[in-house]
Amino acid sequence: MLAELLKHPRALLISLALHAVVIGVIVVNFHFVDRPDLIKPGQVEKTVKAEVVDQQQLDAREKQKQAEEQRIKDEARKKKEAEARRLAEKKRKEEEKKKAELKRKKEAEEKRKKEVARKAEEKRKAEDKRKAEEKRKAEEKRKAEEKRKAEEKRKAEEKRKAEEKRKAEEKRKAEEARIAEEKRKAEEARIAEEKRKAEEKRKAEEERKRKEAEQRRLAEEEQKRKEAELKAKLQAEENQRRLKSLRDAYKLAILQKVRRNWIRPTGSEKIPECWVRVLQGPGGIILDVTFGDCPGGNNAYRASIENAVYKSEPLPKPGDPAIFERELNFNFKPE
Amino acid sequence: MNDDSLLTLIANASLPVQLVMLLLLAASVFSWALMYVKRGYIRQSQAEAKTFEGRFWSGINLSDLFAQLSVRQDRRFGLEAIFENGFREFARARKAELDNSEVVRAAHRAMKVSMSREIELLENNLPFLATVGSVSPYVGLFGTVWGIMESFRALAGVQQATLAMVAPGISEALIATAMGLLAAIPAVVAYNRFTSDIDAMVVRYENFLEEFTGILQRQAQSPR
Repeated sequence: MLAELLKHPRALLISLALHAVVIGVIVVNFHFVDRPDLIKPGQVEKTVKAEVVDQQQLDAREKQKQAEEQRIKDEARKKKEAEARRLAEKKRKEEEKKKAELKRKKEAEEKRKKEVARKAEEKRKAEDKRKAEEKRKAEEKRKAEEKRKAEEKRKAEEKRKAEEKRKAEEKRKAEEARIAEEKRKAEEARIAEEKRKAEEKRKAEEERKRKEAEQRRLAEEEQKRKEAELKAKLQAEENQRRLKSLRDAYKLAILQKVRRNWIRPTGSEKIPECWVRVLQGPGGIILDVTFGDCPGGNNAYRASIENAVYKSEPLPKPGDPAIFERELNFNFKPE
Repeated sequence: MNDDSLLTLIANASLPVQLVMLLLLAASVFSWALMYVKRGYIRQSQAEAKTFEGRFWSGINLSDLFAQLSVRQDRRFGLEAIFENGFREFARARKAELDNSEVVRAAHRAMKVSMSREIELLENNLPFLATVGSVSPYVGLFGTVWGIMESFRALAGVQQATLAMVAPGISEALIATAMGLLAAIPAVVAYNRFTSDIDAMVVRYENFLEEFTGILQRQAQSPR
């Protein structure tokens, strides 16, 4: 089996390709619609242990629990009171200490203030003197500055005027250039338009010619086709006629050969016509002879015809292999 | 959703199941390739028989036909081979001046041998298709059973068993059955088709053989 398949690697390849395509389609399209979230093994929910409880036991446990709670509460209360007392004592002492401190600080503050006032007075006087000096200097500087600015303004004005003049000149020139350009463009556009029109006209002309040629060609083809059809038809008819005449000749040749080989049986007065069916094989070999409609023909007569047919072997060849017939039917009549 | 694709299912399957799938895939590939080859050969034989019968019954002389065939170099098969062997034997026996009935019998024997060779060529490899068609569902089923067994065994260790724990395993295992059926169905269809075609060809060959024997018998009786 494998050896046979290896002789046809193409078949194997085609089969492989087919499977690849099918598997691809399945893999791309195969999805389970709703896959549930899986519970993994060992992820089982926690189980709760249940146990039976006695009511009395439960009550006793409850009482015990309450007494315990009471005890804890009392202790906490006592502790809290002691703490409060201790805190009050501490507060009072701190208060006294604070008052003494405050008094000391006040005295020191007054002394410091007097000193500061004196120093401030001295500083103010020096400051006044310095400010007058500064004012004078600033005034001088301002005047010099004004003078410089006026000079600059004048120069800028002159420059601006020169600039404006230059710009006007440029604008004028540009305008001239623009007009010239427009004129040139208009001219070009006109020429292009003319050219385009000429081109279109030429194309239309060509198209028309092409169409005409096409139509002519189609008409010619149609004509040719019709002629060819007619010719083929004639040919077929001709062929048919030829075959028919050949077939007639073929049948006649067979009939004549059989008739030549026929020996009239003795003692028969009336010779009837007889339909004979002959089965022939390749090369005109006779395979079988049977009789159809044969009124009044006795056995001796039939045997004589059969003998004649077998004697005629091989039967004549047809003029064309196409008209060979495996089964021949003919009407045998002597003379 | 790539997680749910068929490919992951196959990849997750256990080794025996995967082996079964591989086996089935190989069987499918080979059976399709074989179908392609076989179909081509049967068609060729049918066409050959048709053209040869046309030529044989066109009234051509048998020795001419034989001469035309002997000139050709390619290997002959089908009706041509039967005819050639029969006619060669006929001519040889005739040359040996055997009895008429002996001559025909010798030719008949030669043609029978030739015909059985042709039939053997036609039927060659068909059993493979039959095997794939009948066995692959079982092989697929085996894979499925094995896969289900494994997924139940995994269930043994846990206290609370849920269906969700075995379902993926069973789904994986069932792919093997699907593949088995997928391999088997085309193989069975092709096998039935090919057997009926080949039977028709055999009848055709036998008819030709008998007819040709009759012709040879007639020819043997005619003078040499």
